[in-house]
Amino acid sequence: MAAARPRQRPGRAALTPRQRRDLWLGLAFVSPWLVGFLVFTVYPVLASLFFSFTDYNVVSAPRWIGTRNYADLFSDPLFGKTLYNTLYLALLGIPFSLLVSLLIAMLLNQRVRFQGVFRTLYFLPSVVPAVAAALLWRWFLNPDYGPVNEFLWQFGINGPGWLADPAWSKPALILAGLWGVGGSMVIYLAGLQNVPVALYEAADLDGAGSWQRFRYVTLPMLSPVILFNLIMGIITSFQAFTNIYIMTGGGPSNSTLVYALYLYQNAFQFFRMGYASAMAWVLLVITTAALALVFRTSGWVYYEARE
Amino acid sequence: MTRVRLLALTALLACHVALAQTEITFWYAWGGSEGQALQALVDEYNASQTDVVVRGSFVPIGDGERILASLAGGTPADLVTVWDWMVVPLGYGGALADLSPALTEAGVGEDDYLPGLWQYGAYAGKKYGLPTTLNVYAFTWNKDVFRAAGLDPDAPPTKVVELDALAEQLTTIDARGNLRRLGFYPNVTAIYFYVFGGQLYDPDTLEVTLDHPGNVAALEWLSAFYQKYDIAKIRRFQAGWGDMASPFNPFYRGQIAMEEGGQWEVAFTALYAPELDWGVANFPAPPGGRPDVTPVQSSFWVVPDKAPHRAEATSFLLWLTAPQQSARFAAALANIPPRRDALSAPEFAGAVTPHMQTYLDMLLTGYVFTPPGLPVGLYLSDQLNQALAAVQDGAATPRQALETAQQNVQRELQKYR
Amino acid sequence: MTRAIRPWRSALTYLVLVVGALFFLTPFAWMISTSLKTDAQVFAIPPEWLPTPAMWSNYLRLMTEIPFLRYLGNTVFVTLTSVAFYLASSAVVAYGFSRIRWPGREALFYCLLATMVLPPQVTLIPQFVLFQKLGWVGTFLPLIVPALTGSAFAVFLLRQFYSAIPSDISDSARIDGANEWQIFSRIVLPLSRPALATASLFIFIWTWTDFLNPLIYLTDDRLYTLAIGLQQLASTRAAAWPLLMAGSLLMSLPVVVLFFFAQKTFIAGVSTAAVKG
Repeated sequence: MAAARPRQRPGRAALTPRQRRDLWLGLAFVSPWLVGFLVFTVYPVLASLFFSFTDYNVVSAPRWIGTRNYADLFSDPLFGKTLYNTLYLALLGIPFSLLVSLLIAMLLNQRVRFQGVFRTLYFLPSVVPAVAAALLWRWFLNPDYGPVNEFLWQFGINGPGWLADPAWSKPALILAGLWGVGGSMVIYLAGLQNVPVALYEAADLDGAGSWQRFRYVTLPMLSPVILFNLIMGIITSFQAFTNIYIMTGGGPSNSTLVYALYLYQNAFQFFRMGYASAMAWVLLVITTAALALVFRTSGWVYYEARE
Repeated sequence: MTRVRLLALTALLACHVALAQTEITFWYAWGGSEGQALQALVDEYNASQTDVVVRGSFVPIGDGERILASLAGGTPADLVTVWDWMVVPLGYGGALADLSPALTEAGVGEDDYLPGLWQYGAYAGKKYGLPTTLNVYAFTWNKDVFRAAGLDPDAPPTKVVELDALAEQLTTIDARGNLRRLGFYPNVTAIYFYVFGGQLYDPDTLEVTLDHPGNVAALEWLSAFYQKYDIAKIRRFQAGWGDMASPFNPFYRGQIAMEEGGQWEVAFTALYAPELDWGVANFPAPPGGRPDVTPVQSSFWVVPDKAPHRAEATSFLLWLTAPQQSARFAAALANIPPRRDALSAPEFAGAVTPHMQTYLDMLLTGYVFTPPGLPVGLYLSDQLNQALAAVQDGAATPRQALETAQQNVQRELQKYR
Repeated sequence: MTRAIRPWRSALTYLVLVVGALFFLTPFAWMISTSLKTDAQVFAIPPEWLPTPAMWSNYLRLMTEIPFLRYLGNTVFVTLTSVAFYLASSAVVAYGFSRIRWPGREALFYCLLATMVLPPQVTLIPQFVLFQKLGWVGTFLPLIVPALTGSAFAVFLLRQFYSAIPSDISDSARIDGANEWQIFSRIVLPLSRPALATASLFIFIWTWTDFLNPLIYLTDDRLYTLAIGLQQLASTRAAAWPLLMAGSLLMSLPVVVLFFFAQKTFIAGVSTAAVKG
């Protein structure tokens, strides 16, 4: 069927019927989210942007103050400190977590006995309430009688104060993140299922060793999932604070006061919702920049689908 | 009157009563046996009259997200339990009803409450809430530890120099160089501000006075303490302490010889350390300081301004905080009722032990102070923590740290002028 | 598919797995052990692992301390409905973001990711006010209806998995005259079972353990969920630790069981092998 030639408008290529069809189809599939976004998300998000330019304690009417919250934020010593804490935990914690969960997933993708049981065991800490996990880590890492320092003492080392020492509290938190790898492990497991056996067989035929198999078959096929875990790792590490709140309360000496925790305190304990909103939007900008950087350099991700 | 007419009249009356019943919602923050005690009071109120039915439910306060949301949304409960730091921010922001008119009308005034409590929960001439039950702090010491060290167990330090000497004598180190026992553990910084003659704010003008000379002196004393015993060692030591409400409470186990203990220790020691021999007294003071400081703290009951049934909720609140009910509830919590007359009510007076009597005496005759009620919420106490941390880490002198805190809080308070 | 393992490496693998499993089992084991203790034993230093006598009565006490069964019923209702809604909508939305090329797709996708980035503390109050104006506060609606519009997390996850399916399959189906919905439901969806299982697992866990949203939207305590119940237990002055752990344990059992059975779908990887060959 001959397509009628659309009238050319200057400066903008018009859509072909095929493209128009795809646009409608795409929007149709995406419509549940789009509707939800417009109805449930847009208003609260724009409201928080508005509040960031006001003095607002939630129970009185907001009072417009322009960019003063942002100015105050940039001169707040805790702004820099909390950003530093957050970035420290993210830059060290995310790679650590990604690697460990990948390693465990690879081990558990092999045909070992009790595979199902092992996978469940590694996943278990994800269902344990944060309070219990916090207590246990405080015992594990207890400077005086915890197993870790007892072990170090065998070698004559008087172990550090871990969660009680401002210099060691962040590394302690990263260690404590170990129990949380079950989540990304599960996602890797699902991803590993998608690697076609035929590719492994072809690699074997070509005489590939296990490292080469990993490097040229597993990794590329797993790359969309690695990207997912990386992105989610960035998003959650910038926002998560409940576990830290329970474990250290932000101390000692603000050493574990992460950005999201300070934001929470401002929003609900200091009644500075306007300031907290400004903090939120600054975080949005920073996170979006980080995500944009990741996506821009994500050429290593291999998508089978050419669409 | 015929029987039919009598029946009809009764039916009509019953209908009228049922229709006239107002239901008010009451969010309280206690569960377990404490919640049951409060629910018993609620049931009693419901049974005693037919106009109002109180529906209580256990709503954990947390950091007030639910309360704040309900206030912002315009449909709050009728009577709500909140932490003390929430009262003035919410009240001053217009979300809470001013209880002064109702209190005046009911004839309840400053003298009905224990000394120093009338301004607690009040700001700029309005009273936004009533305290539920009191927590009172005092100086406590472990008599067994004193005895073992050859000290007179009934002679606690009354001066700060004595405290310093005893603390040194009673602190011990183990083989690895870590603390085994800490002679004295100061926890609530604000207490020492008042002990040294300072104050967090001027009670008459409501001006914040974080950099008061008395505060600076207290912080200098604390700073010397942390340096002497090494803050890093103290933090390590703290990490190993058991939970407060357990037999492994460091005070019960002799890991701390002297500390601040609240009146709840009366109930807790009975439960977890019945063999413990301990004492209660005033905080030791420096020359020129206050020898009878009595720190008091409480949670609050407030009536939202937009409560659907404000009048009924206020009446119920007045009943709930009357001496009889106050005594019963406080006894169930092992706290102290805020009403004077409640102290002599049998439900409370009957359970008073010698230890508890000391707390009561301090309340009645001492210098009572409560956390400042300001529109900035926890910001002031957070700034105090920041100042303390700065001093502990040697990042600032006590004077500098307090001046910074003072400036920050002042700036924040400006927004509410 | 799972791979057969070379024998000389199996010993090392088992060693690592077992040591790791013991380490990962610790919190759960401690939970079980604490749920059987008396209040006084909880904070023993060093921790006791085998309380004697084991207080099984704690579980009975739990049932009376909070209306456990009622909370359980509410939680089951909210969670199962949410999971069903989230999964259905996210599966559809993710298809639109990955298997069809249309102008503006990437921009909207980044928009979707951005919604996960703004800390929820600052949108909590306006969102509540919104639901207040809709008249939904006090019902289950604010917890369930938004699920019909998809979860950004699930959409992102499913999109990554859909993108691993070669376009050849879709193209050949299109040539055969199938419409987009048929391609989605008959081809892409069945090939994504591991991803769908994973997504539903995570959605289940969040809605099952979500505490804050039920707390602020469910004003009637007859509608409370288990997560709120646990918070009530934790809010008593001497926090009833054994009860709290018993409650947490009971609450986590369905999740564990669900996981154990869901992860079997990871083994049945029909995958793309059939098509490639």
